[in-house]
Amino acid sequence: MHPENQTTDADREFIAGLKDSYRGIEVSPVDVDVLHASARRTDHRRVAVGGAALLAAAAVTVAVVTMPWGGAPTPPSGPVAGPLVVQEQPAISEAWPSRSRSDWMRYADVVVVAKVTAEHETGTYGAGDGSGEVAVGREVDLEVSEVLWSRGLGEAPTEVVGVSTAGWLDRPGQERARIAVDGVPRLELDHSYVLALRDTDNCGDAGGGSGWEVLGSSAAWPADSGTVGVGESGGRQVDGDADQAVPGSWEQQMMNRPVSEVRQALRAAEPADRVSDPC
Amino acid sequence: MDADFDSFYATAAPSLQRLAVALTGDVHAASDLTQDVLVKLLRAWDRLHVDNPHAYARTMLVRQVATSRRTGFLHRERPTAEVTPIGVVADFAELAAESDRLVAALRKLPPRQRQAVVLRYLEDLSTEQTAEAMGCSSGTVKRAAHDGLNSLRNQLTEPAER
Repeated sequence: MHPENQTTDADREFIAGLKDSYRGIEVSPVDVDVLHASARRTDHRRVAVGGAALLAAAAVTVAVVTMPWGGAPTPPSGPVAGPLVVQEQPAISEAWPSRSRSDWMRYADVVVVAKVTAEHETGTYGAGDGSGEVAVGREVDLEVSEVLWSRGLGEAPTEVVGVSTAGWLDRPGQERARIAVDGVPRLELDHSYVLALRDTDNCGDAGGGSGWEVLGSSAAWPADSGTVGVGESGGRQVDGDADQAVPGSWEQQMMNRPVSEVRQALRAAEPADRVSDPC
Repeated sequence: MDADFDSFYATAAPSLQRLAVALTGDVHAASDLTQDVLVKLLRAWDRLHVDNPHAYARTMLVRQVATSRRTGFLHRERPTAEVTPIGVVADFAELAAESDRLVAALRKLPPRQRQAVVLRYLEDLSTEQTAEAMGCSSGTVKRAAHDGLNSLRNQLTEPAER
């Protein structure tokens, strides 16, 4: 039997010890009354709960404005300036699978080409360790130039919707830095992307959000000038190098191809039922 | 329904926070993530028809952590330099110290290994349930859990005991 499938007595003993330690993790209950009040009083998530700051980036909203079908290609934009804090994530986890075309067919509700036209601050999250660091959430406006594929359930973005994107980091006495995750587009102004989005308004969807969210780390592709892989990723200018994509991903296969081929591939793909979360 | 939610909250909140701490290694972020999940649940509570709201909330939390990581929100997440080996637990104070060491050791794992170990071994999910929550295959879970457990053992066990 392969070692990955074996659990020895020593493993079980070790795991039992880990469980004791796990159960001993101290937690501080949140204020349930405030929790109720903030949830009911407003559409905002949390205004001020127990002194904790807003969950910034996990709740970042992206406004999507649709444009007529088949808009003109976006001209390439220059590199993005300013300090950058890049988070290394060699084994990034996913909210939903996004590496393959079949992942997109099963988990996404719509795939669009969109350009970032504006950005806004949302909530903040203080580090709480005395360093004074504050992460600032970010909201961007996307202008959709083309819907490449839609599940056909009326979910195509025709109104303001919500997804998550990376924000900024404020440190005392320092210029504001952009937060980015290595190899993941942070959705910069004037750049275009292919985006696989999921409608999380669905009751019974454990995304639990309200609006649109990017599926995962391989669901936003740079696409300036209508070419996959060219544009912004990780806060930097990228030029379609195969190494910039998740190894073995569909994005890597489509690198440097025109967006029109993505559209063709999606529309030629075997239809798949939407994977909902088990309840 | 509010009474239902209150009852759910009373039992779920501590375990969700514990899970969030284990997944993020950051008590402040864990608190925020837990609150965010609970607010979302409360808002959807009346139209939510699930057999197991605890499992549902756990999946929401795992996804919330994943989203936060993808967007760089958990930018402060970084490995700790050293992890003290776990010894014999003698009292509550020592148990708390052991828990701190566990959290520190978990922070040194790559995200996927950390998720797999926490969900599979500490939350006692099946391989399939873990795969569902992580959004990956069962094979990936097995590999990540195996590698993560070995890494934890290397970090937390005295050299003489290995």
